[in-house]
Amino acid sequence: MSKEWRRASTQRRGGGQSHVRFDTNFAESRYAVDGFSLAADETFDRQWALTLLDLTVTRLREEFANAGKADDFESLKNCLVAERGAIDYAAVAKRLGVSEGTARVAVHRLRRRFRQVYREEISQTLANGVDLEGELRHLAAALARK
Amino acid sequence: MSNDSLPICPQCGATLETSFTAGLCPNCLMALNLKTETVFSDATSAAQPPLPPERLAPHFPQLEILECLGRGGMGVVYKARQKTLNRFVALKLLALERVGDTQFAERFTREAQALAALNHPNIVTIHDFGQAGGFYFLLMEFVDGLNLRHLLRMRKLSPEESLTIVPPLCDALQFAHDRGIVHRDIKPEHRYQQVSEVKTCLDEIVAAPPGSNRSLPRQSKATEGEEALIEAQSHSNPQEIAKIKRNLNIVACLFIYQGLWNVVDMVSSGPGIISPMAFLLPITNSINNGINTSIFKRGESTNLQETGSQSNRSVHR
Repeated sequence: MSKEWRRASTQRRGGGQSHVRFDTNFAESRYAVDGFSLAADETFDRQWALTLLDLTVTRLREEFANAGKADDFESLKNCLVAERGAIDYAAVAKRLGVSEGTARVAVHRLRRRFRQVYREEISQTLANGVDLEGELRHLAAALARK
Repeated sequence: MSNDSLPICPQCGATLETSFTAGLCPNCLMALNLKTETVFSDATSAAQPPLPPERLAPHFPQLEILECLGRGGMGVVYKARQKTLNRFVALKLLALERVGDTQFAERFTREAQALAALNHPNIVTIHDFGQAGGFYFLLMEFVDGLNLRHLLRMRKLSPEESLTIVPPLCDALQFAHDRGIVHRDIKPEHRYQQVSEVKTCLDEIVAAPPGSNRSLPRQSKATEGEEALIEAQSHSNPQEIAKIKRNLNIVACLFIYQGLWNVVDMVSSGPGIISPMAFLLPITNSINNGINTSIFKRGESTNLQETGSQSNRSVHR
């Protein structure tokens, strides 16, 4: 137990750092579909925004899985991209097997957690004091460019 | 890969490129991030496509709007014909998602006025600005040429060609700089090359407040809305302004570097150090200094004009 803790927190060998997926097929496939319509720096920013989104979704999914609620994530994930007024809470509640009120809370929490995790992922890449919201908007703009 | 085989986002209609992000549309996911605490007023604004010319026509009866030329962080640009004078103009509309953002609108107005005061052969002229049909617009000189990004994609420029571009560019930037205007977004897309002329589009700037002719903006309304801008950096005090000036020089150097060596993937790979070539030596040192990856080793203020004239001399050596 104590050895495990020591290994995880060791500073010399990369302890205390999080891992980022290094998947060359994944990377290649994303660059391959780019139609060369963007400049290299724009493509880079766009792919970076996508990578962060993917990391965020993966983290959320893992959090649900760790809590033994992997199926709930699958039921709820579409609510991340839906307009607030467009979510059919009754249907979500039915899928989850809970009351509508509980489903509303679950959706609200998931959306809030998504924003939180995405900001965490960005802030890990920024120096202290760098404007997080500015970076967020920069990434949003990079993603909107096609 | 054919687009037909790819799924479509039911929300925004965008083609879903691959199966990452759990199959969710990245644009709509990103919109969720912007839904609160940001200036964007609606969920899909970040991915909003530009309006077609015919939708804009009723708001601009004096113009014949021909085509959309592109969009940037600040707005959408259209090519149009000014009916009365029968000349082509560039119509720039404030990014649609900014409509209703009073801070941004205020900044837009201030910048238009600052730009209108600049009269320089290498700076795009502002003809008019105002509000029409809920849009803020800038009416600018239309530069019928390629932007430098296109030019660089088409072919590699020779050092001699690049050096005919650099001096007028530096001259234009220095001219604006001397009048308290800092271009915050120097990139090849904003340089236009005509047959014998280089034009600089100075519509993404930090403008000094009216009346402070030769000073850069200090803490003032001039910078309040800055964080709302895509390329914005936080800069509300003199130290921060100094940082911007320094970055301006760095970006100018990067731009020159890119122009000279056509290193388009520099952002991802990081710039190398230019090997000194005898006839380029006068500016090579400036550029190497400007793109030094250590902020402490960079030049505090590369004199752009000097860089320009040095390069001019070297090319005629």
